[in-house]
Amino acid sequence: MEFKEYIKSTYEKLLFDSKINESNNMIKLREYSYEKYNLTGLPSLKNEEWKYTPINKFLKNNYLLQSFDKNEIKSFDITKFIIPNYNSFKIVLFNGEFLPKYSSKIENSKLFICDIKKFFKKNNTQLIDKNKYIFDKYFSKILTNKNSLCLLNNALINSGLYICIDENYIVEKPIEIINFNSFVNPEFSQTRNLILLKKNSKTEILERNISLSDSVSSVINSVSEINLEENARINYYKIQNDKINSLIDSTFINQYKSSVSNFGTYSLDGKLVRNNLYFYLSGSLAESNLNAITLIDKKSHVDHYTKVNHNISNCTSNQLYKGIYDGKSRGVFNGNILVEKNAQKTNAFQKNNNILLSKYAKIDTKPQLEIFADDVSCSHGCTVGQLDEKALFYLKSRGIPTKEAKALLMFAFCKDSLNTVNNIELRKYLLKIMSKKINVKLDLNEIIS
Amino acid sequence: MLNIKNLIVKIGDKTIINDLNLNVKPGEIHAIMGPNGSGKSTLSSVIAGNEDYTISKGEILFNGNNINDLSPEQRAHKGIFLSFQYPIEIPGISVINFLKTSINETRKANNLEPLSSKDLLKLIKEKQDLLKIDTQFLSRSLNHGFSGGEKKRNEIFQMAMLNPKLAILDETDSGLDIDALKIVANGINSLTNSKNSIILITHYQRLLDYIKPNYVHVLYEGKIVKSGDKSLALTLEKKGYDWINNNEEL
Repeated sequence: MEFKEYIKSTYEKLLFDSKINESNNMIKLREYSYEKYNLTGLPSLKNEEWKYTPINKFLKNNYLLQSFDKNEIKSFDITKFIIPNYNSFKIVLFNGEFLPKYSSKIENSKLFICDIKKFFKKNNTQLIDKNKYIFDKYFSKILTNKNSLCLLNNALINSGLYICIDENYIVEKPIEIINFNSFVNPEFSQTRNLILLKKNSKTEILERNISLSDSVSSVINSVSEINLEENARINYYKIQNDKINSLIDSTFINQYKSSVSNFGTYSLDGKLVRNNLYFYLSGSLAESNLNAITLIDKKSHVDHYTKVNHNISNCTSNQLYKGIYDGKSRGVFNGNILVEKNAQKTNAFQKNNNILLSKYAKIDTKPQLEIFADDVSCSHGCTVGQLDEKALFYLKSRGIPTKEAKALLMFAFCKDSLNTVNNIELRKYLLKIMSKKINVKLDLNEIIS
Repeated sequence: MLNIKNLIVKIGDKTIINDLNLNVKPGEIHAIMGPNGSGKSTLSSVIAGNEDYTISKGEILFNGNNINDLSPEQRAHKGIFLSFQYPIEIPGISVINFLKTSINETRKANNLEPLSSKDLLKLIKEKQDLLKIDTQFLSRSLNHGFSGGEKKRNEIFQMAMLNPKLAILDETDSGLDIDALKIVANGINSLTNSKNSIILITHYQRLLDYIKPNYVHVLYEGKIVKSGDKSLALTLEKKGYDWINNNEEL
């Protein structure tokens, strides 16, 4: 069966079940999204936004859209995977499925976390009305219809999280979403998160994907919607170092007045990683900061797509993307800033710096600015280079061996982006896994000080 | 200490160092002078092991061992230090972190335990007074945004911290005002003893007012064309390098 046919038959089966168990809204969403999706199918290289990442070819293999053989976890030791001294609420997912049993108990009425599927059900009385109202108000409202993978996600969602933080509430420790993946067969899974920060609330979220299998490689199509109400603040970090599975992550962030979001994407491994970050600055004085470090080798492929929409005046956005590519790895940065006509006094900046360590590594970088307002401050720039040979000789002449000297220069290159990670334990952990990646032992406390 | 025999260094077809011989004994200070383009900086880079240059003939012996094929870091571990004419600016690496890495990598290569933070700070305290280096300076990015004088002082500070057997000071005096020159020269003087050696590379005899060399060599077209004592520097200062050109004795 062609993959296209297979998607169709899976969808039909899922819709049949949906019509029995799910709410009318959900059935409508699945139907509408599938029809829309079907008009274009998976994006091809002809699609300008997917020019360097042949996702349709990649997905040709027989990936299952629904798992029939579920890997069950009998006993599970999470301690092996924790980040030292990173005190967090741990939200454990297994193949996208929320496992309260292994997650931190949250006994707090101001922080509500549950399986997103609860909201799909017909007449679900278990849910508090307030959350049902929020879900209906925000779910699937800020997705773009141009991204057919998001439409497919809508049609086929089978797992994910719902997180809501109450007004004025500052979550006392980070929320750490750990997604353990262990598939019996290669799957093309569809997960979905909806996160809402109400007025004046604040939180830090860390998202990690960890592969428990080392042979079965799946593709995770993850879509998240994040809404920041007035004055809300979020620090959102993603660590992508799953070397087995591939990830297509689309995150949509809608920001109201005076809200601040700091996003950090750290891609250190992966067969294929595609990050789509869509920001909508919908309330004045909102601020979005996008930071990323890509450090990959071998045949890894990491594609960053960003779209920052300045819809209203007096907002700020900063993008700082750093990439280091070794081996035959390939990177893509496609960064877009759109300043609408009435978004006067916009400050929008974008920077993409890359280092190629090998002559076989490759980066395609495409900064784009579309400005329709006339009183704005915007800039963009990108660089591609090698490690500075003179600096390398300088360090070596002081007795620092080549590998360590290169590592020092790499950390120095990433430092401004690393320093945007506010949580010191998380920053240390990132340095640790980056050092491991480039196989050096350096005094990390010294580097970050 | 250092014995250079019949050294020939080329870049492409161009000969930069042409059959050069130099013998530096422990405790000696040698000054190498010469006009622009005579090969002074190339010579210092080659001794330090810069891989941009290839030795086509001759050998460099350090304490009796041929070091032609050693990497820059291996030479540093053996005690060779180059003070750069143009120290490299590296934003993102602090002076202190750089020093710590440098010292501990050198100790590791010599089978020594890493220096504890306490001992490191003690050593730093001792040496920073010598070169009048402010503590704040240590947390700044390496040479980044430093003035010319700060860069050169930082080079000699590193020399003081690493305590090399052989220090090659490539135009350490250029870009220094009189006060900075005095500080740097005093620093260098206090680091000299009967066991280590210094090669001073300079255009002017100004630095030699403060640091007294045992020998002065004139490098011309990649070759040492004249050697003498300190008075040679004074003659050069008076008569200029044209004197070498026209000197029939050569």
